[in-house]
Amino acid sequence: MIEVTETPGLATLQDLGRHGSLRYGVGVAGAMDRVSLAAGNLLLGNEAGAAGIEVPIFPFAVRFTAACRFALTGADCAARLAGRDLLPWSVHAANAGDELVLGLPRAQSGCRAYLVLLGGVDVPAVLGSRSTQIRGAFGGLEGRPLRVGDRLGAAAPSQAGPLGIGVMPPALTLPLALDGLDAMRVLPSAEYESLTASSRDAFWAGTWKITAQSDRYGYRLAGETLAFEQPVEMLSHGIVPGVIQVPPSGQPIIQMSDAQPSGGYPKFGTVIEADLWRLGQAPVGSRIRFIRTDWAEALAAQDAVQAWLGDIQQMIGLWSDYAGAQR
Amino acid sequence: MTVFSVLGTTAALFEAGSAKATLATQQRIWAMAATAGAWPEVREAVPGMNNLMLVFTQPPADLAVFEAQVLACWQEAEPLALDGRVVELPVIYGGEHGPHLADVMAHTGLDVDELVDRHTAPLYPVFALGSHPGYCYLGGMDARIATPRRTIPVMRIPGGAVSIGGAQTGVSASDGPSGWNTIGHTDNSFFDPTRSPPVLLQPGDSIRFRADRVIR
Amino acid sequence: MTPGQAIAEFEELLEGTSITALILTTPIETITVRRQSGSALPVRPAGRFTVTAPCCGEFLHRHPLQPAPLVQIGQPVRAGAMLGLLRVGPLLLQVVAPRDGAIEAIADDGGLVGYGTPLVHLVTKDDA
Repeated sequence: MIEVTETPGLATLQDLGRHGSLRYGVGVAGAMDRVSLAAGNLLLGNEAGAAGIEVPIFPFAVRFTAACRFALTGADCAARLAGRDLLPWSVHAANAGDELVLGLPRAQSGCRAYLVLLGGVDVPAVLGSRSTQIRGAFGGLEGRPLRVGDRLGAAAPSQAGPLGIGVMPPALTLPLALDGLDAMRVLPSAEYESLTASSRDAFWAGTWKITAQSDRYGYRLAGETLAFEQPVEMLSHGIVPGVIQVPPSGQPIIQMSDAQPSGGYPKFGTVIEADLWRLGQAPVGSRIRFIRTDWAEALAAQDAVQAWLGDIQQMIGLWSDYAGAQR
Repeated sequence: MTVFSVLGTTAALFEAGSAKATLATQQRIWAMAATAGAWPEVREAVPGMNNLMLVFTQPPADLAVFEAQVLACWQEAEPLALDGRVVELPVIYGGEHGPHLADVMAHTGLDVDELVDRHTAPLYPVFALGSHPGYCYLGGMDARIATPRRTIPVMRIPGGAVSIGGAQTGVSASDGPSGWNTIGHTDNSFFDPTRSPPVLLQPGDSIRFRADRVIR
Repeated sequence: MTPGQAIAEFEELLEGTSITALILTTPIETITVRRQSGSALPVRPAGRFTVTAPCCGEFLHRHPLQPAPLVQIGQPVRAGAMLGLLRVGPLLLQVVAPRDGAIEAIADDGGLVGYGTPLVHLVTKDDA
């Protein structure tokens, strides 16, 4: 059980997303960095999709009102529990009364932290998910960001992983950079060939800044102005997180987790699902690159992420058995 | 000319190739959604305006084979005339809930009565849902009252706002930003996540607007 | 062989004999197992404690995301303090001090170790 004691805003409950209701106009929502959320859950012995708290603005603090096991993944935010420094990407045990403080993320370590509790945060699932749906105000905690004074409990765990463990963060084990900048792989869209050749070249060659007008709905990028050979009129069609739209301004917008499920702007392409977590950890003000990929490479990238999570789950299981047998 | 493309590895997008969305084509999209939505590779089939997004459970290893399967499904799709219901929405036109009524009148050159008559006359079929929970993409608006989207969107239009954007009309199902011209308000609830299905209207249903009040 | 394992073996050897004490002297430590009336409580080696690897892996002085090592030579530590990390595949196992003491020696950063490899030597106060 925890009580929120400090939050500058925009901290929300998220799981791996609300699927199956796009045809009702309900977007997917879910963690911006699903890999960090899943890894934190696996560390604890939770299902990978248990709900946790996504923290994008710091400092953020909670007080444990009961003893509780938890993990912190995502950005390394110099966390302290009852005044003690905590290792990132690790399991910890809090006593009743302990305060957990997440500070500003260390440089180069991402921008969103995930606090996961043993058993998962206990709120009702709505349309199959505990993710917060801001427009429409449902899911998560009352469909809104957390406020000071909010109390959250953890569901009873069906099992628990061992204490005293952590995992290597994916930024180190699944690196992807181009010319020293974080990079994301993109598959071109149906409208790709309608862009001018110089626009296409500029997109791949350029560095793109994530402007301050970027959030869970979308990242507005600053860079070269992109243009089409002829104006492209599109009928409204389904979109998913990662879709890169080219609005009339010519500055791309990457649709993110809270994107609406349909759109009418022409698209450059889509960031592949295996790289969405990298976007989720790219801070406002940072610069990124894009890498053109193909279907086979994109599938391989997805397999690599799944394999990494699978390895973690397997190794934790093995270590749990081994450590248990040693006692 | 139909178009098949992918949205990353998350989904495929099939476009029927219409310049303007037609109901006949949309009925074939509904049929296609019913069939493709049952495929093991497809987690959800999401109709758009004369197009269909197929969200993957797992992305197919052989994309060319999947594309052929999608195109064959389209070719075989017979128009699915969904037997929907007609929902009549009482609307208060103008006043504080219709801040852009005057702009639409100015653009179309119509007076308020003719504008309301032309907006309330048709039966609007629900083509698809999208944009936000419970929001319906409607067909059938009278081209005479078409008004371009606003250059500066309004940051917060309340749920129930009745608007015109280009050649389409629609009703916001919840508070949110909008670049359309808001001409009135209706009180209906279009979305309730605790109900099954959670939406008031689905593809195949139709909306009729009824003018309860016109505030000049 | 860890001190724990040695003590267990010596207990077995003493069982059923009239021997009252066994003393094992190694370059690192001296283990004395002395029979007491009733149960045979193991006597801890005086002055030194070695933390060993619980399995094979790569021993790290610091967390890969952080610049500073967890401990320094000579540093006093409390029981439960983090001394290093053992990387086993994707896992980072925490190597913690089992008791209060001071760091006397620490295995090389990045070294590959096996089960039972000494990782940290602690100088401890004599046990009561």
